[in-house]
Amino acid sequence: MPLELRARLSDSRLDAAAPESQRMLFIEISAPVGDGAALPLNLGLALDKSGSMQGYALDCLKQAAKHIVRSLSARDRVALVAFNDEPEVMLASRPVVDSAAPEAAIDRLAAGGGTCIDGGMDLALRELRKAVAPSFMHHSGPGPGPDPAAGGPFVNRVFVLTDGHNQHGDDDRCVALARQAVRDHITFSAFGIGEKFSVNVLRDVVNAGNGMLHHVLTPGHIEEAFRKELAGIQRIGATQVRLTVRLADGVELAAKDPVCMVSPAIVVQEVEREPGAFHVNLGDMPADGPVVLLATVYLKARAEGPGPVASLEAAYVDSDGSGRQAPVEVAGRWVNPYVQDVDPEVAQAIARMAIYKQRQKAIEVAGSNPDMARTMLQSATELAGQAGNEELRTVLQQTLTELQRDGRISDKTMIHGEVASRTVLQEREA
Amino acid sequence: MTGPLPCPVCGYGNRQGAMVCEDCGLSIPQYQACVACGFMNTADSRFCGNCGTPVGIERKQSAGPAAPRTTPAPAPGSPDDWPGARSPAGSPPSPGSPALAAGGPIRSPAHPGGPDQDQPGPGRQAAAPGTGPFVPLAGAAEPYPRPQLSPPARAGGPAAAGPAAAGPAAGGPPARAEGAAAAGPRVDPVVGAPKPAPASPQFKLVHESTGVEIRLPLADGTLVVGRPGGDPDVDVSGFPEATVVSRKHARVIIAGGRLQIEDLGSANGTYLNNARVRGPVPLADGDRLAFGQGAKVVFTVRLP
Repeated sequence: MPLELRARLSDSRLDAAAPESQRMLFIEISAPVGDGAALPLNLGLALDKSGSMQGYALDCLKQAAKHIVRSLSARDRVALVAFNDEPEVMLASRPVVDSAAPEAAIDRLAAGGGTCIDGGMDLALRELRKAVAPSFMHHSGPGPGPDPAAGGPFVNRVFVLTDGHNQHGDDDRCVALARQAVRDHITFSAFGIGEKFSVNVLRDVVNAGNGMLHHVLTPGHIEEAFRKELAGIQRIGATQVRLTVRLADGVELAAKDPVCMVSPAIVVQEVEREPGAFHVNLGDMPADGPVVLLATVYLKARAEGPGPVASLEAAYVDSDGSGRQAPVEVAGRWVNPYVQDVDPEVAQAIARMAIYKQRQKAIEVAGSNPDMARTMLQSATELAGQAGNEELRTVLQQTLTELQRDGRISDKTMIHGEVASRTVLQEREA
Repeated sequence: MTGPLPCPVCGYGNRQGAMVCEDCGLSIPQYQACVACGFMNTADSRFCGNCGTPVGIERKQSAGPAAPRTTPAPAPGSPDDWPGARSPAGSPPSPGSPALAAGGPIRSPAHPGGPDQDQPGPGRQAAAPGTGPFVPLAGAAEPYPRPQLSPPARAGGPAAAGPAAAGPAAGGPPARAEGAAAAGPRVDPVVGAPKPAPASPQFKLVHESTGVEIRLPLADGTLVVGRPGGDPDVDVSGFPEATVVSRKHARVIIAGGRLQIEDLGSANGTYLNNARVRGPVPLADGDRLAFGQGAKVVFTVRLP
């Protein structure tokens, strides 16, 4: 199943009289509409069984987890890990023959103890790696395809669910584990329940592999969140998507955070640079909408007239092996006089990215530089207002209020701000 | 962290030519000087906001890397401090300009005297609060003029002598200067509407340099602002220097006692309190609304 790749500049006309112009390269990658062959799942559940989950929440979680295992097909694999301050493998990774054994394992879940998220993540990754064939390991971009005998390639995914802070664990280790997992093409989907979990840790965990973050307002919504996420990943037809952009002479990638995903969520991307080119590993290709990226480039002045800017291609792995998208060329036209005319869709994406980055930066510097934090939040609030996003504007305003009044941001506002600015999937009452 | 183009918000040193800050994503305002008068226009202007000269005149290739084109002279505070930005206040209305009413009537509100006018207009106040005066980063250089989002009249902020206060129409009922009314556009473009009682509530756009009022109906509807050829509901071609206004420039949306402005892809832009808007964005009492940049065709918004 070939991917669709499209790209254009934020303003394809460039000023021939300016020594250098900055542009956003707006890149859209999508899976073609229709039922391509979906890849089998290698799924792990890493579920919080700490004391706070006792009772109703655990009942809801069991219900939701059973729904998952019943929805898997015989091609899929599943593993179950539960964690409090100690992680435990409830069901070792195995093909889904029937749902009886997984359901029995789910029934054995009992709540108690503290929370160590990284312990659960680590065990779940060990289980998933059993099914990651050696030939897939550290496979990135061009190279040998998957080994058909290994039964893959899989969409490798861990659902990590928690309702609390990582009190007995190490937040940095969570993120480090997620980054290591990406090398084996394992991605996390995170589910935060209620309003007291470490949203920034879960965000960084999913961002490592461009996974999704779900905010689940009450335990009663866990099943809905699981259903939604599972339905999405069951339709993935391409994985290990790797974008390569070759830049024409006189075109350079920006120095700082040059590539940012803006859809399905706002995620600053890790970029591999080489002279005249860069690569971005995007992981699984969502089936239900394009991946949209903004790449910041600088273009040196040229003589008036058209000229090449970049050539893009994507490599991926699908059920037929590894594939490669034919290169797509992006050109510009150098003109004099130049009148700025930014593509409105790109301008909208830039504004969304700005709101997100400014909120992030405000939170980062809130302790060390309250003035800058305030300025950032004011700027983001204004942009949200201009974009007509009232929910986002309100939560940014609240963030600013709390920062000025209390010197800190409450969990609730932190979570809602992340939700509103990142485009987090949220399960709640209609 | 120090480059040639520090971000006005986060201070990151961007490269020359940056339109978006690499660090915080801020859209950095771009300007280019008019070849005729030197006025710093926003980079997407097709005509100079000060003298109307088309931007389509070839410029010389820049010699060095430090082209000052995108960085206008630093102007702390208001954009009105940039060179050439000052309104030629009191410039006479162009003689022989067609009467405002001739260009096209405001599309007739169904019942100008209807119940809408008696309602207190919920949310008129709610439309007003901005995010407060923009507080610049302490100690940061301020290389760009920054749109002031709250008009000084409401914010009571640092720029007490801001544009709204400077206009002759600001504060109190706009005086209908005899001379302006005689030579300039007619005063009441609401054709076909019965003359309202003086005290009756009404939306008004008060032209800054002439004091001429455009009265808008309270009933829900939209009104296109422009010049003949664009079939405008509000024809502003009679005002001085109205050539910067596009034929279909913007529209005023009246809904539920609130007023909004939306740019209709005009060549020279629509500016609310000096910030470019595309909209629709709500208008509040005292807002300064300009069609085309600079202080050419500027109105003060008056809500009842």
